[in-house]
Amino acid sequence: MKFTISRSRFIKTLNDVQRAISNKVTIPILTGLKLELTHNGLTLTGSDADISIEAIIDVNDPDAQLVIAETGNIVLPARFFGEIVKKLPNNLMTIIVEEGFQTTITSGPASFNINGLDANSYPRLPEVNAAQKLTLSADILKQVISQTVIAVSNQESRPILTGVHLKVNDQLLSAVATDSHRLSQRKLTLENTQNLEYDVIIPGKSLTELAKILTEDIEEVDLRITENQVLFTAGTIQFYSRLLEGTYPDTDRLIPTESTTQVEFESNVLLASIERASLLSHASQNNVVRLVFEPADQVATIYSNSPELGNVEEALKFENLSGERLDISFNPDYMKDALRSFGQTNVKVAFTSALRPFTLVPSEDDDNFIQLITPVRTF
Amino acid sequence: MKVSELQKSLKKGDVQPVYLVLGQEDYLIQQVKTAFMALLDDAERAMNFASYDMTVDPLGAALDDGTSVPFFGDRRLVFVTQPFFLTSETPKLPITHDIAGLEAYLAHPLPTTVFVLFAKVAKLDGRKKISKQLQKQATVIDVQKLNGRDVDQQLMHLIQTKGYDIDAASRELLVQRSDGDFSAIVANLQKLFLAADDKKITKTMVADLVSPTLENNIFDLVDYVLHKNTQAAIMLYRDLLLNKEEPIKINSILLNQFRLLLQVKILAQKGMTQGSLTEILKIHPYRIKLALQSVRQFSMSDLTAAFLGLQENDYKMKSGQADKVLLFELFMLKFANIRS
Repeated sequence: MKFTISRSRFIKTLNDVQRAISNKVTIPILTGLKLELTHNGLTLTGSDADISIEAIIDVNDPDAQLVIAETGNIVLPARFFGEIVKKLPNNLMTIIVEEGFQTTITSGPASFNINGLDANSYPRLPEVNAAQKLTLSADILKQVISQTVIAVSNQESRPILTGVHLKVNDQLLSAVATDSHRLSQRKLTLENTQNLEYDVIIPGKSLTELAKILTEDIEEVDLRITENQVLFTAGTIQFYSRLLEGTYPDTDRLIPTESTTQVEFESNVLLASIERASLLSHASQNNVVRLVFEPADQVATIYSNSPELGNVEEALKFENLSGERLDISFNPDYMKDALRSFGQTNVKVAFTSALRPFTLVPSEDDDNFIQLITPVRTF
Repeated sequence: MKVSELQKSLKKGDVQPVYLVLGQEDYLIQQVKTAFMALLDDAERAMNFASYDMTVDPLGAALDDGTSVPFFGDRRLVFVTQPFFLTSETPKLPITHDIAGLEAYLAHPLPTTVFVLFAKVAKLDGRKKISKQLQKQATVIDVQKLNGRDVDQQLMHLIQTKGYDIDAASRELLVQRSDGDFSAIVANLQKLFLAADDKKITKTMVADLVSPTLENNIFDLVDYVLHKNTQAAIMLYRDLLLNKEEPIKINSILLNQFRLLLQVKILAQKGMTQGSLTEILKIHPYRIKLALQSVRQFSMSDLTAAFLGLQENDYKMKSGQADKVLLFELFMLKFANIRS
């Protein structure tokens, strides 16, 4: 195998593919990056058995300056190879694979010799040959991911909750994540998907990595699902992820439909207040802030304290407040994540009691996006 | 509280907020876990159950769960395993545990949370404030190692409940091959249940399906030593070495066995019965029974000589004075030449 390529173009693709490569894998060859050169272009593949990413640099891509001398394939140690490429002196680099998988990387005066591995030993990528596909705007998919992955669990003892539950039914897409302390649900109306039905759980980690790959030059993403794999196709990138097995809990019944105390805030104003209060709550062992609403007096106050450091009290600025008096405590980090996911907007918060989950919705779109947070009992 | 009492009270809906499961009997621990898990239906389990290992997870994470109201359903169930901070153990770990938070939680537990700590030790470190508080404020479930009569009773109960039958000789062999460890007995029983088509467990089945443990082999080795059967003793010893058993470990178990034989011999000569020996020595009655049968055949001088010879080996092995592997063979040759 022998080719010359633009280093900057190669690095861009390498960065995408390396997201799937981990040093903590049980199959040693997966710590490597697979390069496959055909007359059509160069394909880079990385995988950690859960996520696999394949990216193609087309021979006709003008930025790539790809010159193919001899086709072939090789697996190179990903981390080491990546560091070499990033430190090469010139923009053009040449890779030559000799007998016994000896690989030479040259650029200007620099020349590296590294040991490669037989690409035939690299595991085959999953086959996803689903006829049906769902096409989504990359921006919207990225937004859905960022709004839901915040609520996935990072506890492996609850494997189902480490994923986002994705459902497509009756031209409606619903994405839900929960770690049993908070929940995030985003709905989306789809077009031209009459016969499409999905009900899958995608690992949160996979979606986080996918979102990082969805750069501004990618406009659309195709989604194909088989029994235990999902394939996202974004431009020249194929992103595979395993699906989580099991039945996701029925979260619809968790979302309260009625409330006794309602308050509307400017999202970034409330966020700033919560951040100030959590300066002290983080210093304390139990990370809790307390909100007290007095609709009769039109007063809302946030409290936090750390036995070692002291306490904070702040009158909150709100747009409107109605209903019954309420004194409620919760983890401020959950509230901060929720508020950040709304962006610059007004947010309606609805409470039923001090010991029931409360909801947050954006004021102008309260049907399609909801966050739920469980309070904490303090003593 | 015994496990059976816990099972009854949970079934009745009498659920306490904090439990301490204290002891090392794996079979009973598993029964306790099953009883608690039955409090949640399948749909609730994914949301409302979490288990935290204190060698990996911070106690604060478990307390966060404990102080959070259930997402749906009536209660959260939180398991805390390996709570070494209740014992005298102090492993070096990269996590810090919020003991003060646990103390505060115990003073005001959340009624919608069932908080269960599994301390797999014989007893807690009574000097620690948290241990004292826990034993006072939690419902303590006893899952200590079963011994003696309890093992036999539980074993018979288990076999009869499943509708099987076993004779005394088969039962004795099963207990012996499982070293009197009830959890091991239960694990071995599963194989025997599968094999017993006619619901009858025979001695042949036990011999075929329950492989001898190191202790069982040592028991045979003791017998060969005392009968001065040098060839058989050395062959069995070499088999144990081939099975990757350490000479120090083999010697140590042999030494314990001879210590037991000496204790039984001395106390039996003072007129003590099998029952009182079990009480005093805190050892499974089956092992006492076998020891009594053995010591009748051998003189005090032989038992003493063997014990002292093995003790000398132990010292030599640990101080590197001689080849560990050869020491037993030399001991055997020397011991076989002692006149009884």
